[in-house]
Amino acid sequence: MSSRILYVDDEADIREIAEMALGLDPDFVVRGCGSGREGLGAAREWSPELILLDVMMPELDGPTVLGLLREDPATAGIPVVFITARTQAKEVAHLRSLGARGVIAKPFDPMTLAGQVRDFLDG
Amino acid sequence: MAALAARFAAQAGETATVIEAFLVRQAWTELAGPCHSLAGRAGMFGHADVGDAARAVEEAIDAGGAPDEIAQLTTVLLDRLRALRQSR
Repeated sequence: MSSRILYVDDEADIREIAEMALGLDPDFVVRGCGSGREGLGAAREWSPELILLDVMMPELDGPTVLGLLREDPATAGIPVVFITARTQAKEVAHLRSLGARGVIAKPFDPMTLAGQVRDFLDG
Repeated sequence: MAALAARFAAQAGETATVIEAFLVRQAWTELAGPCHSLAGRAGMFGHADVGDAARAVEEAIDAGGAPDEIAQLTTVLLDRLRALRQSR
């Protein structure tokens, strides 16, 4: 059975690449959202197995979205992996301390993204 | 993927214009936005040099770097964006 992956990122072209990269893998069904608010709604309605969440987004940024997900019993248990271009050790440690399962650096390699997601699902 | 990469390259001139306007005004907070976007995107389309330059600007702004330093790094970024535009 395929795992549902929600990808939340305000950068449309990166979202499109991620959806393509993961959509080619039969283990995944992917849904993309262009804002944190849209992602929150999709998380409640779709109950994904994993959320890939961009950190810097207008209005609701990734950490804020993660906090709101954790406050809602319907989404509190969904693992979240942050996607970020800020990969300094201090920043990554901060994101992990918020409760993220992991961090994927931008730019990511579309060819290896599915493997990374699989590892996070297993982890 | 090729279409997305072509679109990214086609927008390089426009992006440079926006960044240059922020540089002229020394509007560092506003400048951080497009630099962050480029840092995350450029490498996806085979332009890691642009992404690296954008990341350097963003990090200098985050660190509260001196205006001269940020301006110098931004000039490097603009040069790479213009080279990308001219290579099309």
